[in-house]
Amino acid sequence: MSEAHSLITIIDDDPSFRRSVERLVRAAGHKVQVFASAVEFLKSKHPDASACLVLDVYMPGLSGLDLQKELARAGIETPLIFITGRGDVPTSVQAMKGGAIEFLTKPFKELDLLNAIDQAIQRDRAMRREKAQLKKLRARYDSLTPREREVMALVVAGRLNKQIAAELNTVEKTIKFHRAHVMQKMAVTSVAELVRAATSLNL
Amino acid sequence: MTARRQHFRPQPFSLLSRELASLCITYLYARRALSPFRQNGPARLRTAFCRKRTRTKWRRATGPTGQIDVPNNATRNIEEIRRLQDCIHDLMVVQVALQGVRQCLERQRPAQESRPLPPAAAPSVPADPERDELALELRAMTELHNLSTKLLATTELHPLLKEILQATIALQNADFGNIQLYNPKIQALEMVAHHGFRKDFLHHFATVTDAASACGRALKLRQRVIIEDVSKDPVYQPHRAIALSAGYRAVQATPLFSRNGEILGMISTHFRQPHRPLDRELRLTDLYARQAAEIIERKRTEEALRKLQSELVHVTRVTTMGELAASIAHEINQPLGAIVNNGNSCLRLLDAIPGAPREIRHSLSDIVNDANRASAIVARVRAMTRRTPSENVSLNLPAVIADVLILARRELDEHRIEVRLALDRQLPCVSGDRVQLQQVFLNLIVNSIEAMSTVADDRRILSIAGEPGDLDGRPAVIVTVNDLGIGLPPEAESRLFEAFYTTKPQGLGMGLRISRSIVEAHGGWLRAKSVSGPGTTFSCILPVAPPQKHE
Repeated sequence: MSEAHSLITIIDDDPSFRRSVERLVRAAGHKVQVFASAVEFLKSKHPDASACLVLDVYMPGLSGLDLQKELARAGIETPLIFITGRGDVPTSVQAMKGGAIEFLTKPFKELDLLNAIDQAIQRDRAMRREKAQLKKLRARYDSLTPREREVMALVVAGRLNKQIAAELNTVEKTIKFHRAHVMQKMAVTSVAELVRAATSLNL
Repeated sequence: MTARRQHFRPQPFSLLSRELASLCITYLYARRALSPFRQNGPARLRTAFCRKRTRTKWRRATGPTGQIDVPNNATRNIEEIRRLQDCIHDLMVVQVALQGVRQCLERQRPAQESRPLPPAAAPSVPADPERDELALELRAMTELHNLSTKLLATTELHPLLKEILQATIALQNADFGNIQLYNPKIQALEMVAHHGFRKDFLHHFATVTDAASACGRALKLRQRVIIEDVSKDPVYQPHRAIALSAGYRAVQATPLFSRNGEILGMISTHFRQPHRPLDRELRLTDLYARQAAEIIERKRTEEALRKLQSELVHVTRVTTMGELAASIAHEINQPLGAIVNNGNSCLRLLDAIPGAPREIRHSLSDIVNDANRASAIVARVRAMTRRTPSENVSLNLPAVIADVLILARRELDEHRIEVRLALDRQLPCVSGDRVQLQQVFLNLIVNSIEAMSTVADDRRILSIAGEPGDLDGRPAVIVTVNDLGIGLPPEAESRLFEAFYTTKPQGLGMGLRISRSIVEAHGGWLRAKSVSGPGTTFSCILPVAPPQKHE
């Protein structure tokens, strides 16, 4: 059920509790890294490397909720799991609204945490996959020549080759030529796929 | 003096003295007008002040409207009292001025007399009634000034009241007198200061509620009552005998009013012969009465302030405890959480070790369970300081009490206490929070154990009984916890459930208070009953659960 090479990051200012969570998550088969404060985590080399963040809400300096905001601002979309010694409703609502996976109070049942971690890993994996796809797509799009991009835009808009030729002041044969190249470079086999690719790229 | 001399033209002495007397009397009336009744003092009162300084002080005391506002809290009361003291000070100023004027007048007069100041009451020259009047007024004012100085200096109630009483008796040339304070709780006048009376009178009039006596009548009518001859007054009949034996034939009683018209007490004077005090004497008596009323009111205000302060301290302590509970809960949850995680980690790691003894697994499970249980209790305590039941499930009270007895088992055994249970297993379920109700019963049981700690071994019996009952027509369960211990001291019965009240030397005094809060939050009540014979019984009633949720 759990991928052994997903990295879980734990942030908590209480050393004993931090160690205990590290032990638990490691015993469940994950790779773990720990930080004593949110600031330390942000300063680390690859803050976006983890599949999941398990963090305390009330910490000196930057609180868990503050970190949530910071990460959102930096565009880091790592799924978050909050744990806290104080279970008050407003904080939990705020955390969940900010997109957290789960909000647990200490002491928690181990299965609650481990299931949430698994959920987080799934979500993270899906996200990374999407990102990778998008990156590939973008690379492909970048490889198109300007003319090819123009053609693609009109093809996606639903124009016939004849119309495109007229609009771009060239002959149908040239358009067919460009169209073939676009299809090939974008690695699609139908116009429908091309349209989907264009939508993904927000063109 | 020079400035004043400029104002005086050579006038006949009598005319001048009349002016002065009128100024004095007007001021005195103005002084009386410092009552909180929102009447418009006649304009002449204000224009009567020919001294700018006095006028300024008057204005300062009464504010822009020319009236003193009725204060409605303790601090402002004290403010007002201080302002009034300023006005009393003005009286002194006027009196000193009058003395100076008198000096000046005397120098103007032909050298008929060479009386030194202050003027004596009995003149050795041909009697001039107006001058005598003035002299007497002056003496009374001096007395008043002395009194007001004392008021500023001391804060003790009784010595001051005694002073005022003496002054009043001297003023009226009375033979006896007393001051009473009104006790609203018993709605009666209680004597606090007296002069000249014997024990039987004091005993007879120690507390007055009837309307036949002068003071009782004055209390009812809320105005002064004068009985010129007690033997001729028909209403005074019940007290005639005591009056005769005490030796007085006439009595007057002047009520003392507070700033807002409440009766605070009474000042009375008694005369051996049938007598009616003069109007002047009564007027000045009113001044003294005003003084006495102020002193009494100031004392009461200070008392009220002190009481509020101590209540505030109490509330702060309780609130602090709530805060303390919250932060303790948070701090405790950290290590508890760590224990649970570590335990679970171990259990997992144990799976990878074949042949590990089962005991290790069991121990680790127990560790985790206990840590969870501790955390649940912490959560309940926190929820309780927020005064809401945190859980609402159907509970079987006999089971709940059985759990509590397990918790208290060690204590019960150590103190060799026999527990007798009369809990019907078919008792209907109540709805509520298990841990909170356990707290309540544990508190009662612990109190019982302590109450029986000094009782003979064979008489240490704790009985817990439960039976169905009803609460305002709805089905309920009544649980009684009875012990044969030392019982409750008489004053404890009314104060038992107060915060911080305890009969134990190291007690915090919160147990019963919290228990009652919990039971009331569940919709029931908790009471202490004294039974015939030794010991105490606590009864707790809880409404039966509606037939919905089950644990």
